[in-house]
Amino acid sequence: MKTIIVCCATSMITSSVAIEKIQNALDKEGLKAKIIQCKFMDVEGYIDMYKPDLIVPTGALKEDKAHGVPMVRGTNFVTGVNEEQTINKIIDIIKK
Amino acid sequence: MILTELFDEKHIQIINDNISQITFLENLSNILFEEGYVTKSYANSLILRENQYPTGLKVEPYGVAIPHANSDQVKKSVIYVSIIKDGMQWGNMADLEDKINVNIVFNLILANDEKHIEILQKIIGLIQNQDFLKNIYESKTPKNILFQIRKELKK
Repeated sequence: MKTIIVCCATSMITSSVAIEKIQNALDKEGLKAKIIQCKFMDVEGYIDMYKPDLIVPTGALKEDKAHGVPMVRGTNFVTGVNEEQTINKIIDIIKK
Repeated sequence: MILTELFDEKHIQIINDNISQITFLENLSNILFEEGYVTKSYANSLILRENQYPTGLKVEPYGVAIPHANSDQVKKSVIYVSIIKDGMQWGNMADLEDKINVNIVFNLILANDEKHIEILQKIIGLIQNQDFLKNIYESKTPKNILFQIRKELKK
């Protein structure tokens, strides 16, 4: 099973909103993935621990913090702008 | 707490002056501290957080920001709404290198016991409604802004 790290800055608020939307999209596609939630400051440690296939930060996490793991920016889950495009990118990576 | 109760007329302001983002966040934090909503250190953590991970959102027709700091520094929940007539430079949540012009700010001051996700989802709903953003930006009084918010949340 693929693993996704969904993260945000401090309060876990926006990442929780993103997780709900990602989970709904996965369910719709009949896909299963393990979703891990964390703060930006913990991302690097979590990458070592979980070896994720994808990172979805809701905010401006720097690219180099992803250690080469594919990143799909999840700010659209907060603005609603182009949300579907973001979901499709995530689904594509999970389907691979 | 019910979402509509997190808004009140006292915590809605229309800013016509040209002030910096730091002054804006400091002023707001000081008011909230004096009123007993947040701890003294709230201002610092809010400003630091905006600096590291900005919360400006590129939405139409007006840029919106949703500054929020850690709940540990919040004693009582409230959502502080500011309309900034001339706009304010704000970091883009999606891109550290980018600045956007923000006219509407929802400061989410949420204590640990609030249903954060539910609240944010409702706020997101508001932000995505262009007519609503236009209506509150064009409102002349906090009273009318509150009326618009309540009307929209009832839908």
